[in-house]
Amino acid sequence: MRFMMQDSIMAAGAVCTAGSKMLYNFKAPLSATVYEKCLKKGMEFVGFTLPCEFGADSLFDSLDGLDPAVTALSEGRCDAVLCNDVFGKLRRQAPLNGLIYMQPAYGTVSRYGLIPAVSSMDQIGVLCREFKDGLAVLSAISGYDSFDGTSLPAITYDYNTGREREGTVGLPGSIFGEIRLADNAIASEIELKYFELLAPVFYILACAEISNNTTRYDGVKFGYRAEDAGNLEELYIKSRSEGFGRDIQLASVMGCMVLSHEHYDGLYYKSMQVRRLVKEYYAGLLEKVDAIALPVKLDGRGKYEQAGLYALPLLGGFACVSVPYKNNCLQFVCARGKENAMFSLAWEGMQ
Amino acid sequence: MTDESLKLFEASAKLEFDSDTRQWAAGAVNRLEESFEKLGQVDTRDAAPLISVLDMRNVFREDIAKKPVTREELLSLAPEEYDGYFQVPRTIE
Amino acid sequence: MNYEVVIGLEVHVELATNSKLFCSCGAKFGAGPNENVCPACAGMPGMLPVANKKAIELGIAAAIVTNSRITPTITFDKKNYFYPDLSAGYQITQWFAPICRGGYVEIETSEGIKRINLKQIHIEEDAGKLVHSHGASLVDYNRAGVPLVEIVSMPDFRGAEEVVAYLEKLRALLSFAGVSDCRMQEGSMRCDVNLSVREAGTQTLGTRTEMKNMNSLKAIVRAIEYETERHIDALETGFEELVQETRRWDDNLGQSFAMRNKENATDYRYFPNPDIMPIEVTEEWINEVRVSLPETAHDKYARMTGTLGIPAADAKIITGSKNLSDIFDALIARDIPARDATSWIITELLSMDTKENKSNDDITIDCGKFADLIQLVNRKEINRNVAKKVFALLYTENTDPVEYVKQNNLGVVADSALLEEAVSSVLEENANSVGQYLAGNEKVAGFLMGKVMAKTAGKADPAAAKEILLSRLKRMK
Repeated sequence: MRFMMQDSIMAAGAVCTAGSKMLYNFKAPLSATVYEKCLKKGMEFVGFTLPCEFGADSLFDSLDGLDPAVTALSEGRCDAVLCNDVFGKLRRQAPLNGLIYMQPAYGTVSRYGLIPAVSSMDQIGVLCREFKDGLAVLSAISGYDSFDGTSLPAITYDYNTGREREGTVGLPGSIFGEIRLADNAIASEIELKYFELLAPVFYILACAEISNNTTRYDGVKFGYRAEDAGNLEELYIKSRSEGFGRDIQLASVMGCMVLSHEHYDGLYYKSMQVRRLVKEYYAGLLEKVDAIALPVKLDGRGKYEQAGLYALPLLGGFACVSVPYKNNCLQFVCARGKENAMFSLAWEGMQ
Repeated sequence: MTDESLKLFEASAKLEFDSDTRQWAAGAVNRLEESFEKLGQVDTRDAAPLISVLDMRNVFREDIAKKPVTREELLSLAPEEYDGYFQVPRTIE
Repeated sequence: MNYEVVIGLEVHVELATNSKLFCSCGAKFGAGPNENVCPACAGMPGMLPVANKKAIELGIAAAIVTNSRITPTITFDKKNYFYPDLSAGYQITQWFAPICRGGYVEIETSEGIKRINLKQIHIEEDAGKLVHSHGASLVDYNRAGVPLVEIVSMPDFRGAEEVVAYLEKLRALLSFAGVSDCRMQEGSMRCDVNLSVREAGTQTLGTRTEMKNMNSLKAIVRAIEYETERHIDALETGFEELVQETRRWDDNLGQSFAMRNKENATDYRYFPNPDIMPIEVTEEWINEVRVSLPETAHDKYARMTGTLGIPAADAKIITGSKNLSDIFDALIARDIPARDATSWIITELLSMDTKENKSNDDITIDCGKFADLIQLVNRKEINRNVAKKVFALLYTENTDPVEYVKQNNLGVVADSALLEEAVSSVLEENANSVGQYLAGNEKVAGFLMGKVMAKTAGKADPAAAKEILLSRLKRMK
């Protein structure tokens, strides 16, 4: 089994850029837990793929170049790529290119050694061609890590799923037209409550956390430092303005705005409250069905609205998997503990 | 958000947009701010803010000192170092 | 116009842990620059904060000894600002739910006992250190991430005397509880002074300035006196305008200076840290900590002057220092009577340091050997003279007293035959002095005793030797 990693996951001694000029020469001082776990399982490490800067692909724009992880798999250079898909690029592109992207529920896989984008939502997932490969890698990387204080202790992960298992799938009629389901899927109508709020809440929380996760890149200790900065203030401003792409720069500025004294209550605090409502509602829904199915894109809708699709599982910390399904591309979402049922539903639709 | 506010937040983030970027940013910010208004539609009075999706409490480690990397390894990553220190331009107090 | 100075204090105290608050680097003072630094506290990405349980317990202990109300569920938050000594661009602190609120510390001043109320105590990370050299600034992250408690008082102080009493009391409480060694000279206890002045008898607070960088109690006193004057001058003459700001105290120049960065204007953009799970501080846990707290200085003083019958002044010295108290306890544990322990510490130990001028907290001695030495004296195996000499060797060279006495044959000479012999020699060799004694000059006996001690290389049992000498002299009359 050959695996690659996005270049935001560390392997000691290798340069780890997270797609950013700020980290152009940053040699990882230690290895990510997931990297060591894969090696221990006898997997062969083949190389890194370059993510967009901190994974925040075209956060504010409509660029949509094919992610190098997708290319690496399509070209057969490896069997699986470890990725962090906070912004949904891989969940969108994978099925459109005949691939599968599986993302664990928050707390399943250790984030130790992952360069963070949005700490409360980041998880390392698996991009693959074959379901069985994805499950094997997921099994290798899941599990408690004492170095990650958000890693769930005392849970064993047994991804042992067959295809034909029957399961109930919640379908939101409001955004789906006709959809063909596989034989093992029993449809159930669900309401996508709070859907219009998912994108704004996601942007507020994500910008705040990206803003705060990137303050450490200041040209002082490591990474890019602007030349001929006359004083400390110039060092900060030049290094950061030259080292970050404009998406991350704007995310940083937006983050400062939503966390500012004037806006904290109305934007950030409010978003945390809405996130609570979203999580509780969808957790309740996901108790009644094995999984919810969502499209991977919404035709005719703006970029910001579509962000809600990718934000949904992350706001609740749910597991999800994105697959080419019948004549469609679907993202399935499930509660922690029901991954096998969800995988079964997804897998059957790939036949 | 006004141009002035944008500049203030840039300063908070230790950034400075060039004029093209600021123009692009202003547009993106406006779109976002419009979408933020939707937050006003939902009643969150009784909702406790969600800080983590996990319900864990009391995650600790024991008070044992370790040294995972040497000073040399750390300083080898520094843009400028001097005599065991990280060096920056003179700070003003 | 009569003025009153109003002062509030923010005291930062480094917790006595082995490792830092959110990473496993060593937290002890004294390492070379950046020796106690890992990728996490150097601000590199990819590591995650995991709370040091001991640090939280010391925070609970600080809450207990200051009679504070402990918050049932505490969280950690991010405080954002850019400065080279803050490696991640944010400090992990407690903004929304600090470890405790509303405690108090009682102090003794010349006007009686006063209660200083506390606003709150919170646990947070320390920042690194900056030094300046060759036109640049140099950063050392050893201190970055070391756990601190910040103790915020209400503006209850009315002068430097109260501030000093408070800091000394705080130090006694926290050092005896094992929370911190509270050494200002090493930076494990730092104090920021918030000061304003108003007309005596009025209620409204005047413009407040904050002062930092006082590295000793004396510097704090000087800073308070200077700043009070400066405020009063400003109010009376209008020559200088008082601005709410942070000022840096320069002890060499004896002045305070406005700091360039107007920290009051900074928006720290506090928000909860999603990587750190909330901590439930249960009643059980608090009781466990309370029960395991060492005896306070106050209780020890009461016990020493009460059941142990130690004079108040001596008890004050011993309980004034955690170090001396520990030495005292170690001696008692080896069955040294309390009075002996006290007198040996105060009379002998504290007089040993003639050159270095160490504080009582820095004096070190092997307590096992110390106890052995006192036992030798109490069992009359060596005399006091010999004991003093051996003690000096124990202090400077960590000599083992029992071994040394044995090897050098310093046991007390009490054998009457030997003593008689020594006395005889002395009487023979000092006929003049003997004559003077017999003629009525009794003080010469002292001189002759000195000779007897010398004759026995200082080892004679003084009482026995004196008895023999005097009886011989008497018989000669």
